[in-house]
Amino acid sequence: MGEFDRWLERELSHHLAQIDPGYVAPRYLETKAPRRGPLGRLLYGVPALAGAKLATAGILLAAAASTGVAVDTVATGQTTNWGQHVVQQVEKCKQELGSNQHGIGQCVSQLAKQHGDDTSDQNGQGSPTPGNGGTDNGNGNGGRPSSLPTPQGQSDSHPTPQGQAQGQSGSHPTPPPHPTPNANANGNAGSGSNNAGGNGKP
Amino acid sequence: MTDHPEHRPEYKPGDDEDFNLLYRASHARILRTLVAMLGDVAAAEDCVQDAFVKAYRAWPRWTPDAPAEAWLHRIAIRVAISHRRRERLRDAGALILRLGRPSDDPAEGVDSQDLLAALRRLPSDQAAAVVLRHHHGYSNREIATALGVPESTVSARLVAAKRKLRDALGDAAPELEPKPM
Repeated sequence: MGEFDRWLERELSHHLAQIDPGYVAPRYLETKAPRRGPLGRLLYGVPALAGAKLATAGILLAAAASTGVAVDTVATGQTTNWGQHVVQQVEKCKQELGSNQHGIGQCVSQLAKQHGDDTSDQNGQGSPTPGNGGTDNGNGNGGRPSSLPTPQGQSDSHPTPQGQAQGQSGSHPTPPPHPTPNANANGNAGSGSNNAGGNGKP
Repeated sequence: MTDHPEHRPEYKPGDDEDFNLLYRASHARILRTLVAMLGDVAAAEDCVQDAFVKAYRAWPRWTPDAPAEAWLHRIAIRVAISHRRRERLRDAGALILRLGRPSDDPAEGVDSQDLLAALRRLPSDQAAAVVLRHHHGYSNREIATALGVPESTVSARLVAAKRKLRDALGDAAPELEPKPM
């Protein structure tokens, strides 16, 4: 070892050896999780993973429900037929009321209520129906959130503004019904999606 | 050799108690290495703690084919290098902002004959090699493990580092031995 090396070691010792922090509480203890062996990971890891997946699925379902994504497990054909039926019924209601009269909402909501009862009986699930103030819009889909007023949402526990329920009182003539894809798919009345009998769209 | 560990206990990978023992045994030594690299005790302590967090997470995967402290040094030196890189970026940004204005730092541009200051101006890997060799007494092989480079690279870095230190320190340091013919 040469002179420079010896000098270097002396100087480093002089400068660094005096650095003595004593015991410093290690930060890694703050991040410490229970450490398990291979068997523990098997016992705890898999259920934890499954639990995490279930929790994720639950969150997704809740998010879907809250954002109004209809989880339609009933055959789409049923809702399409219902939509067409509603359109026809709305037309019928308008004819019964006359051109200058209002109150089509009541007529349409009656229809929706009837359909909801029928669907509930059919499914036999006792799921929320329009009459029961649930989120179901009466077509058995069960996925429509309560935040979406529907023509059939004329229930005691799922009230909608009277103006919507009975159509625009006096100041807004009911426009002619026009079927829309959403109306057909979700069973909303064509005109009900506008302003009569509660809006079918948010 | 200075500060060479006389006893290297056998550690079990993944064992929490052994890791705690390793922490107690090596914390100060690793701190000194990083102080030499960074020139700042607070920054070095911060980096040491970060290094031990990383090491703790990797502890179950450590294999005893290399000394545990060398493995820790490797992690800590990488943390310190990242810290220095971030520091240099910050300094570069500050320098750009200061372009055209005189420097307020009286020490800037003045050659310091202080060894630690000279070490700090070395490239990180060279400074680490010097401290590991001439303070901790690591062999070339252990330094190679700590830095993750071949032993031949360790030798080259040590030669380059000592030449730069001698040039920076001037008369404050002895002459380097001439290379054998």
